[in-house]
Amino acid sequence: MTNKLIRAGLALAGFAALQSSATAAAKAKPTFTEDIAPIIYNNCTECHRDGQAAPFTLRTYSDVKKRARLISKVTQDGYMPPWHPVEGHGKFVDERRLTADELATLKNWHKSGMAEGPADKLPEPPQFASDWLLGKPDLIVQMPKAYTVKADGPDIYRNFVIPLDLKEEKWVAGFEVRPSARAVLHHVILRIDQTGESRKADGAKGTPGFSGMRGIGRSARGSRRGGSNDVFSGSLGGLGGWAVGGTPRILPLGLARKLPAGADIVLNSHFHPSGKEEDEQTTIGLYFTDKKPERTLIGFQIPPVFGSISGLDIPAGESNYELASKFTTPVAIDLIGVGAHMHYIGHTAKATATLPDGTVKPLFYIDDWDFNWQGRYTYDKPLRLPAGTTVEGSVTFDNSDANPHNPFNPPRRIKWGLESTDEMGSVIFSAVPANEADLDEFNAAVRDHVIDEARLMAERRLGERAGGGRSGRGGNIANRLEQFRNRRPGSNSGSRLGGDWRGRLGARLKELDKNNNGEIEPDEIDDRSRRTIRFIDTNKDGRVSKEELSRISGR
Amino acid sequence: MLAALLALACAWPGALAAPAKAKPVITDIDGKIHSPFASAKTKAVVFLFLLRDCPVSNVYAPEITRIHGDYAKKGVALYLVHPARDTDAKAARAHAKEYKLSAPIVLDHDHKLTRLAKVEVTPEAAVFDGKGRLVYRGRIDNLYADFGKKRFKPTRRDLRDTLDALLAGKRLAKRTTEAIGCYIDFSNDKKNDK
Repeated sequence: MTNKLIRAGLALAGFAALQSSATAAAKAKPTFTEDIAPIIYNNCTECHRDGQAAPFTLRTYSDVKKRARLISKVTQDGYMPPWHPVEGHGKFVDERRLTADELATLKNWHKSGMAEGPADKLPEPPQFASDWLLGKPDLIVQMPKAYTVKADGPDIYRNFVIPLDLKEEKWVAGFEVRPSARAVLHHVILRIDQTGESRKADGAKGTPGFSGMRGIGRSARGSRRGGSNDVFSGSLGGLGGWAVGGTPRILPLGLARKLPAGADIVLNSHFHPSGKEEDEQTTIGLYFTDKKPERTLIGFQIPPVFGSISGLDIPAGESNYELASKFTTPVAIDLIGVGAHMHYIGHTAKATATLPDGTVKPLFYIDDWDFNWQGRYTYDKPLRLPAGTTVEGSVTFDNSDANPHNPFNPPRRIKWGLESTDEMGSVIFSAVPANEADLDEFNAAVRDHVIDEARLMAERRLGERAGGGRSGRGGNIANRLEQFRNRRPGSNSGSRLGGDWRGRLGARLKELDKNNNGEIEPDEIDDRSRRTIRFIDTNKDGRVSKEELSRISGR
Repeated sequence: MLAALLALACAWPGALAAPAKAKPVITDIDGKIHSPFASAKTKAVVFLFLLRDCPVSNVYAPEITRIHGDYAKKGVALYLVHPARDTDAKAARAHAKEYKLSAPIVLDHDHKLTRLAKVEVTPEAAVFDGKGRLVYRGRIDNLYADFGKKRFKPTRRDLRDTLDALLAGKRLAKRTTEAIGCYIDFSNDKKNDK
């Protein structure tokens, strides 16, 4: 595999060199062969060719000429090439941006009548040697059955299990997604399920796959704490994602994500109906490392809390609802990648780091979130954050009728949930401790951040119940919003929680302990408490032990 | 085939210049001749402009066929128009089969019809009333707010609203909306086509 990777790397490096030489000052009357072909070849043809996802080919003069106006328009608008992070907030590999010169050249070519130019000036069209951009994969797997995407209707989000039945664990350094119906498959997030729940759900209602996020991201009972498949590590058990136009990449620093023995891959797929019925049966090529990597990739997300406990509750019509949180790393880390996750009404996602010396580093910014493009971005080189750096993350939502992505017209109140018309939101990072010896400390900090935030939210909910009975919905929303807006999160310690939250939470938990043995057994957990308990039951064995209870009341 | 195209090219400009008197003839890719304005039952004539390889235009295929089904029996004559030179009758037929399009198909390689309706985008609709007056040109509905900004479902269905109004006997002033989609290529048109 190594040789292939080097070759792929060289090819890409050559590509990058070509690109930088293409930025001459914009001519008033550019020609195809001299000015336009280099831009198109370097930025468009990789997807706009036969067998790839883009809807039409952009290679020859006539291909490009007949779409000159469209190309000029969508590049000026920033719709193409698809690239969503705002410049100046992190530098990433495979950035697809056109320079101001290139934009002007495309525009001028359309305006000036699309001259062809001298034939001998035409650069060599790009060659795409292999079907697999990273060479032959170590393991090729496919959805067992094709899923039929209807001709029209709203976009479809659906999960499909690819059973692997691996006898031993593998380490995934990269993967490539190959759709069978490229016009309809827009993006895929690869998740891992060790519970077997997804396998049960898949096809249970007659058609392949299942909706929602059931069973996804949960590690098997007793799996090693802090593994990259641990939900508390924030990676949601994933291998990463792919969207139309995405270039498959091998993780830097020899890193790899763990694929445990017996785990299933779950494709979380997003389809655009294309106007005709199409069958999709996705193929995935996986690239493994030979052995367990020396450094451990940890995912974390800000805000860290998933679940209804996150308090996400967006009133109908609210155009700028914010969720924000901070995380301070106790050890030096290298950020490897970043992305965001929100659903339809997500609007912005932003993260900045404040270093111990006060330097502020912008890490990531999407100013016009589009659920269609849930890219994960890899920093061009790992970004070192010294111990004591605080990473701030915030996501905003636009639940007004001015947001064309709003699934409801007129807008409705939208709460946290797993279906795509519910909401959730975080900036998601992957990182490695600068020293592998700091792994446990970093993991513990990530976990504490989650538990802390969960407690804060639980407290808020319990407080509401105690104060306002069951009203928590209508009248309190304004207050809750105020709390969100004004909240100035402090350190990662539990000190943010004001009042006698421990007493109240403790009392509530004590009520559940019907047999008074100091533990909460599975049959003592009622439906109303189940969601809260998930965050207190830190080892996820389905019960709250004395130790877990004492952590709540004593820390 | 050629004769059919000529018939179309010749019949239309005259028809629109003097809509009340002319009997415009439209010849589809199967050679069938249509005279929508000849019948007193015709309440509206719709031209829907498509490009085979325009994804936005293709996304609309099921809705176009539904509109055809819903309105054809009520006195609305609907024609699908291909303005692209590289779409010949065979390609248009294959495309219609692939996307289950039901309405008659017309080729407009010299863009006479396209220019007459002042259409520049696909998919875009031009609606004429029974007397041959252009009453609406623009989007089918507002499913797309912009490139890549697709709504869950449209909140305005401009083409259907226009047809409903005509069928209700309303006299409409000309209305236009902006259609989101692919631009039609006019760059190969001969000077005297314009």
